[in-house]
Amino acid sequence: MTMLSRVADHLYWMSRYLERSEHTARMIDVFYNLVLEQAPESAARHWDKLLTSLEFGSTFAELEKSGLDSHQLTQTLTFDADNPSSIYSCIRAARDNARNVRELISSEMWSELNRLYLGVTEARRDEEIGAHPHDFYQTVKEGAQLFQGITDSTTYRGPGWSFIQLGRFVERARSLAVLLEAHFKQARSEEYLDLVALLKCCTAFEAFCKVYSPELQRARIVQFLLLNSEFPHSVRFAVDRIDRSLQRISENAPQANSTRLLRLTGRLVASLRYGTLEEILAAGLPGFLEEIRRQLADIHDAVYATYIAYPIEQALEPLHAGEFW
Amino acid sequence: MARTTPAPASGPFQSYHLSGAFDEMFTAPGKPRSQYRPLYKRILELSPDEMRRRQQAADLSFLHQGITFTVYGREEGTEKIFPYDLLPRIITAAEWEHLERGLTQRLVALNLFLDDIYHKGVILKDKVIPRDLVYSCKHYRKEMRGVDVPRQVYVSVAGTDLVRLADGTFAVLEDNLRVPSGVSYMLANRQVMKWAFPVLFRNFGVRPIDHYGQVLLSTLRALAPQRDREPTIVLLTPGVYNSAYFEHTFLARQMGIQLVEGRDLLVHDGVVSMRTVGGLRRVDVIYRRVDDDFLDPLAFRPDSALGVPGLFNAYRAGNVNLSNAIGTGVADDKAVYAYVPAIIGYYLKEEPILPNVETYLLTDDSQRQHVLDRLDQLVVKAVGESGGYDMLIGPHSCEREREEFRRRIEARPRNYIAQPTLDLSRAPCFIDGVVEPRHVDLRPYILYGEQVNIVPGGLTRVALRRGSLVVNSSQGGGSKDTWVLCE
Repeated sequence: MTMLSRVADHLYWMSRYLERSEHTARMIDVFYNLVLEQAPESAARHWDKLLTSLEFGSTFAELEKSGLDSHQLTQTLTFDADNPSSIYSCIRAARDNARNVRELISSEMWSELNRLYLGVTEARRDEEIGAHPHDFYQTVKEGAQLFQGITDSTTYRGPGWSFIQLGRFVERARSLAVLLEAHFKQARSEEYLDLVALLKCCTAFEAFCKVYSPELQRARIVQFLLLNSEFPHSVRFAVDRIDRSLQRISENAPQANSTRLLRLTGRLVASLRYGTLEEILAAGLPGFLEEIRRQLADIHDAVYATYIAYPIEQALEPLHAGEFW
Repeated sequence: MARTTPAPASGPFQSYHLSGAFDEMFTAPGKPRSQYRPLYKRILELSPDEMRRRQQAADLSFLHQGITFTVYGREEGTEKIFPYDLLPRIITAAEWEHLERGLTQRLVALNLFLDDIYHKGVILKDKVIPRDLVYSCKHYRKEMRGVDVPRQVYVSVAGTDLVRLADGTFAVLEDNLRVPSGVSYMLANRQVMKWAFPVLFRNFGVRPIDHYGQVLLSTLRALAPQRDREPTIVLLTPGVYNSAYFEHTFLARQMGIQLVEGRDLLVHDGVVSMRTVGGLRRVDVIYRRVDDDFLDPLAFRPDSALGVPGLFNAYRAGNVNLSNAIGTGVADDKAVYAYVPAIIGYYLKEEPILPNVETYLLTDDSQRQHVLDRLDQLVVKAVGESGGYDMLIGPHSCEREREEFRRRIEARPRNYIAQPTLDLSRAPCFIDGVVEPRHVDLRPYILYGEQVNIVPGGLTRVALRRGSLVVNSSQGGGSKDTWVLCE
């Protein structure tokens, strides 16, 4: 089954952007709820954590100085077309990517994504949305999850499917690593409400309580969100899926230099599968998380170099050897 | 005051008035032609509500399938459904047989003409058609001189526009020999029609058209430059913002071939390849839906981002074939059109089976004067345009528009031709709960690989605005299913 590199690129980014929009919606929803119960000075601390987790690039104090209040901030994170990471921008980008491969994804996928996009576009014009933000973020999360469910049940398990999975889990692993780093970098992040918020940002609160207990301990939470193999929003789970997708892609589309890519993912999988929490904490959690991010970036680059934007010279070698025709 | 009214004066046909134009359905009020009788009966049986319900179901089906087109010159992202009329246009077996022979003859002759003018140019030496006229054509490609194309087939996909004159004769209005579009509507109309009127359809004996995709694929396969292996065929689209993008995706899916954009292809050592996740894959035939100008920035417009650098060299070297060939636009230039009957006579030693519409060449002083004196009666068209752009319909124009065209004609007479305003035939359409006549044309799609192949049918385009003669989708036209009967 032949798949154009451009098509793989669109599927990968469609999936990444949608995952990002869901993550952002959940984060804002959780933090918005959290700060409702906080005194202003600790509210600022939480906003800062949200901004760092979303890699916004400015602190809350800086934004306040430029005259932005918390309401405007959530608007920027949610609806701003000039902010490429806003929920609106992500869903629009996901749809643009899907539109380019509309004939290759199922019509159910397209119409759900289109519906989600139209819903967000409409909400953007709705002045009243600020009065009930939770409903809106709920809609976005449900729309993104519905899309993933539809994708699961309507997509042929070929290379296209693998690139969709790849995009989804690269984005997830990355945003989890950033979130954990932002969280544990802050002092006072061991407070109960902070830990609850962290788990909720990963849809992990209920699952965590089932596996452990509502007694929230830092070490257990790190264990769960970083190393658990069965929970879909753990770094290890996401990295396992990245590895599996790339294995399938290399079986379907043999490329001479996929070995390097598989070695990169294999190494990351191994560090999460065989590393122990004690070692990781002893060596320093922030450094470990930063290393995961770096490795994910390398994997992303290697995917491009192998399948999407490969240099012509590399692709021509087998041609001249007559292996292709 | 009591008045005896024939049956059609009440019910769904109450506002159906015949005019001087040929009527596809009726010979006289209340007297349908034999091929239309079962349809006529069925319309009288169905309540207006039922008809409306079926029309809505049909519209919805187009919307859900995303069968839309983009209108240029409006807000970005203006996607519209191509308006669809519920009542089929019916063509008898005998009429079709005549059309098929005429269209085949015309396409064979036009291909011989293209091969000739890009090689020896015998027809020019024999002065059958003026050399200047050919060389001054905007779509003439001097780069194509001496280039040999597989099977000498230049135009492998044509969409010829036919009209029916007042006496019922079919005549050719335009040859679309570059990148004709609309075939997806022909196929989608049929699909929707089968859902809307299954019983009627079954009893009519309508010839199928669903195999168009397969016939197109075997046409393209027959044009592969190397025949010793299974060719890789792709459809080249300008991308999602093109007005016919839906059609490109539709046809690629029907044929099971890759839909590629220029950036998916690259040329190395005169060989075209597409970039896939499994590496580069050689491409043999490109069914291109990109205009000549944009195909290769190295050979044609350097600012084209849609094309593939080096494509023309690969093509000239015979390593890849393009459908249609480069430079076919010279044969559908509206001034060259006037010479098609002579072209048929010259190469085939035959009389044209399908006549042309009378055409005035504005480079000729006396013809130009004749036209300028009658701008309010004639239709003026730009020779190299299609889609109803840059066109004057005299009887429907105002003084200001006529002055504008007078100025344009005098400035560039080679750029325009004029034709009489044709009273196109009219067919019944379902409009606001009743049946009314509207002007129609017919665009069959003609394929030419090993031999000429025409799927029995075509796109019947309808000028949906009352009294309008313009059927182009960009100008408020719609379409209806076209039934060619088995007997």
